[in-house]
Amino acid sequence: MKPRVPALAALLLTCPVIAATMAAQEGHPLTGTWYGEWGPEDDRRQVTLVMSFDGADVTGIMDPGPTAASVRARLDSTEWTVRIEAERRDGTAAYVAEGVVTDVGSRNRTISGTWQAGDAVSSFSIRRED
Amino acid sequence: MRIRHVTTAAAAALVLASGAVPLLAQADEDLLNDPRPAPRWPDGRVNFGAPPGESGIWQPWGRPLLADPVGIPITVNDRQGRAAFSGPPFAGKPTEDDVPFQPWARAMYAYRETNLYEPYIRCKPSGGARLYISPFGVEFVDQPETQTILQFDGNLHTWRIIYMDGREHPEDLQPSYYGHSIGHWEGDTLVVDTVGFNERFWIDRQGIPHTDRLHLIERFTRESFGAMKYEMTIDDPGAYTETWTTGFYLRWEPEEVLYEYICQENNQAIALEMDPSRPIERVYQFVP
Repeated sequence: MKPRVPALAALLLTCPVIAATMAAQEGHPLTGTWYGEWGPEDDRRQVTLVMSFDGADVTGIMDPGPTAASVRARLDSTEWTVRIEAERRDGTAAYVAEGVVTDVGSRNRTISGTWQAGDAVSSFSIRRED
Repeated sequence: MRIRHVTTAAAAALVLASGAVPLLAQADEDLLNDPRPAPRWPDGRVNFGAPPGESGIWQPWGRPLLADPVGIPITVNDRQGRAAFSGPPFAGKPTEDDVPFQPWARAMYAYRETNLYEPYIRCKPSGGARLYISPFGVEFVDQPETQTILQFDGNLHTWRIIYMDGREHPEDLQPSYYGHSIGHWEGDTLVVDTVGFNERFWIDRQGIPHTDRLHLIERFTRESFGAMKYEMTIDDPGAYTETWTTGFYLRWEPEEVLYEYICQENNQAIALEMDPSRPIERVYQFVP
């Protein structure tokens, strides 16, 4: 039997490290890495969005990897509404998401709304993690 | 010393709780117009600390604001419902309407007025002006032998390094709470240029937003033995449409020293800082 104590100790040591990497983000509300899902109820798809603000535009990447999509987003801070446009770099798909930022002061703020892929419209929800 | 701390804190708490209108008291007037000049080192430079044989730290003069609220007399209450007593007036301080916010930054500032989810309250370090807006004080430690000036923070027992050796900012900086600071003297004024801030704190307790593009220029002038003028120019194209300048005064608290205070122990301020009508979900147990 493998000793459990070292494994437990390793886990305990790792947890604070993981926690320490997650921190508040008090800058532009869309900056950060967001995780969530979109699509019809019977075919929900996971999505990752990484967005940053350069002082004028919000840009980023969706689903980093071979099928990544380029992202442009626009924030209307009067109502905290967001429009996100994404297009796969190979040109196979494009998306438009429109939603509302909730708990804008929280590092775990969320965006929820409608997600359009081609002619199909569904719901989406993403949550900022870091 | 500890008794003095408790008394000061109790008095401040009473004032805050009562919403009283503390005007600039005679003691403050005396401090501002202290006839004693700022102490100096043997080489003639201004000493931002205590003369030999004495002690003291810098504390915020009242509750400094970077922008005066609009429509609410500053001497009564700010929009956050807490008494605001800001010490001596700072010439040229902008109002909220004067601050050249980008739209998102203005909206975020307004949001924070009623949702005080400030990292400082959760025992996080806070750079910029927030370092000096703490009842626990700041001590300047001038080290000519290393060509640095250290600023010790009495709140978190962290410190900020100001390099005085003429170096430049590094090309690639890992963003941090205090950023990378280089300083020089312009007469009796210490001028500090800082870049490399992260976005994990507020630069004041009012909720003035910033981004990691913040370039801060601070000017510290010990105008008398008891008064330090603090001026900051905010250059942050991520949050503002142009640079802007503000400031406030620090007051010298003689005979005081930084003392052991552990923010993380029994910190009950989180609940106080939250608007009960707008709870923010907490998923994690650690301090974000």
